[in-house]
Amino acid sequence: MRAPASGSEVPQVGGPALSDVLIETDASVGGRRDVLLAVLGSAPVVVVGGLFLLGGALSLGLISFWQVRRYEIVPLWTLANYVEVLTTYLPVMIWTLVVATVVALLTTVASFPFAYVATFRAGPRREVLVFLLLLTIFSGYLVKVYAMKTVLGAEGLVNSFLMSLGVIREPLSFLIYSPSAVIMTLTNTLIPLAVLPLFAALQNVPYSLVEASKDLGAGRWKTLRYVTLPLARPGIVSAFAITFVLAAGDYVTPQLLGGKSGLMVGQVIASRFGVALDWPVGSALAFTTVAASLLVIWLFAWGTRVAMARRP
Amino acid sequence: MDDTIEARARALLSRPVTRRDALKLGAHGVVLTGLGSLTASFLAACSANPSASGGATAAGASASAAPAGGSVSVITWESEHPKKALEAWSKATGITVNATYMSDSPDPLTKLQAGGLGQIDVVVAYNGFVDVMHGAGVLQPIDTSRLKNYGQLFKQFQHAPWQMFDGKDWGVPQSWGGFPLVYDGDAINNPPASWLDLKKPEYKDKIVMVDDAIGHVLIFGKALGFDPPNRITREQLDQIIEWLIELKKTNARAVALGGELADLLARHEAAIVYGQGEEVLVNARAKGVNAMLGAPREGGFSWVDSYCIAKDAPNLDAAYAFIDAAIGEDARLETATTYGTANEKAAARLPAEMQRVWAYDKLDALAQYGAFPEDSSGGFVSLDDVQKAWERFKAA
Repeated sequence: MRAPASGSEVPQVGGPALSDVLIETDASVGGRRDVLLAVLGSAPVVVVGGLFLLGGALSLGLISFWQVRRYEIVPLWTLANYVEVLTTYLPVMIWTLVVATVVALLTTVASFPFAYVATFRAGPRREVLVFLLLLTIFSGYLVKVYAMKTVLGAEGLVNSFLMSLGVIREPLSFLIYSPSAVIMTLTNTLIPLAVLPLFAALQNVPYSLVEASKDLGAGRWKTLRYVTLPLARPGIVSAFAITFVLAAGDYVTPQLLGGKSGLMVGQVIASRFGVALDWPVGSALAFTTVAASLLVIWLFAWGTRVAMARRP
Repeated sequence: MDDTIEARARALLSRPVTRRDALKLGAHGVVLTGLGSLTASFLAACSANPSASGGATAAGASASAAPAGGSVSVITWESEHPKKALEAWSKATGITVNATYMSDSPDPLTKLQAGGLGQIDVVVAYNGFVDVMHGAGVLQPIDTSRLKNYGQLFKQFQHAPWQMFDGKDWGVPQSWGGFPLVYDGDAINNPPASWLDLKKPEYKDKIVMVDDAIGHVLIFGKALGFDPPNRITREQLDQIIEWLIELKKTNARAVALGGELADLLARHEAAIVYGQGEEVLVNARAKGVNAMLGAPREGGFSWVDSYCIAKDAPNLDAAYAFIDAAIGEDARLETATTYGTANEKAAARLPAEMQRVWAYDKLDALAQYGAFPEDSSGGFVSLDDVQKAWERFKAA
């Protein structure tokens, strides 16, 4: 059995929630030198983030309230872009959120066992597993999407295998060029990105608590449900959030595998910015998507907190 | 004929061509041609790396009045950029070409409006977008007398009407392409005789539609009797889109990027595809498909790409020298195995089979229609209306 991942003390009964204990940080940082180091250390991120992320967001935020005249953006204030988003593009927005939610849930659920095994069961091979996982990230996003075509296509691995077994006579057409193909591909692509925060969160779960739960008579599933999962909740929320945002903003996968339906908002944003030169509506779509995504993520975080707060 | 060129051209007809940036597709504009598919247009869009030009030299370019040294800043399609010929030209003239590759047609306009004026010298625009960029005030007229190779262009491309404004030239054509219907001859016994035949039950789940708003509206607008199809009302646009939605729901397998069409035929995930260019035919054949060109009676359409000089171009002399080199015989021959070339001398050096497929003897029918209006104030739908209608089609 693996030793505890950290040397955290077991909190006493009646004390603060376990997850609260574990996310506490050492607030004893002090001294001018530490402050200076903190400022200098964070400066690159602050500068780059401020200039390119915040600056870009502010710029697009302004543009989302402006208009286009003769292919040129003019600073004439209007709310029409947001009205158009909430009328013309509402069905696309809702569909995108549904697909992204399904992808994020599937990805998070599918990733958890790997992260759990790597943390608690793999022993010294843990690093190898994580390295192999990281290798899949190196393969590139587009390559993965095209690889899925060879798996899901009419003459792909799945159809060929099923036909060779005699399970089907003709290729299953829904496997590719359909919303299910988009969901499967995004899930496959995003799993490594979900495993990492889960792995990090599980690293912080004191194994002594898991053992204590079992010593007190809780079974494997009860321990998972009432000890491991609540302690890993920050990682679960992070995994969901990362995969949700990436799925909601993706436009390549639905373009290549979405078939004849299932337009997603990323495709519309790309079209508005690129082909249509309509940056104001594109920006309004982007900000509305961000707001809607934050809402979904908050709902997930709130839901998991409520669900995991229940006592046995 | 130059053996090297001929060998290269024949090789193209028998082996895959590198896939072109798929994003070019939807962005490319179009012009209806009266050409039937067999004779129609060609070319196209895809294939990323222009083939090496066997024997390509800087001869034509270096003969022009190029300034010594310096640089020229160009925004162009990567697949239309004759890299090898221009490298030789750069060595001969000392002019460095700083090429930025575009991902869609509005790219140059966006960059010029976002601070590019005074920084960028030459941009590429398709026939329907020269008008837009001219209207946006980001171009300057071109004195074609400064281009030694201008006389090598087919007469149909010299002072072409779609880029003449105020009696001046605002673009110099270099490449062109089409929108053919290609089918798998082993899977389709009776190819559609009309674009409207695509709805026949026999083609159910055999069609892959290309993701191209303008192409669809022009082709099917013409087929539905709206002529010219780039001057249609809102109701007519709605009729076209509804027709296309029905086609998609009943017979289409998918809506795909143009660069994927040949692969879809090869993987037997489609039996009929259209759009992108005759390279689909070439590539599909190279993948072992018995690919055939369809001949819908309504014909097809084509686009023509031109070099334009940006307003306030900082290196004007170098810009002229660059354009002169890039429309030259060797330079255009370098990309003529992927696209139609505007240079007559380059076309003459192609194998007869390629000349036939590209239908160089039917250039009079090229570029019949221009762009959609910039806005709908005149009662006709604008380009933006078409794009939004296409989004509705894709979401349906």
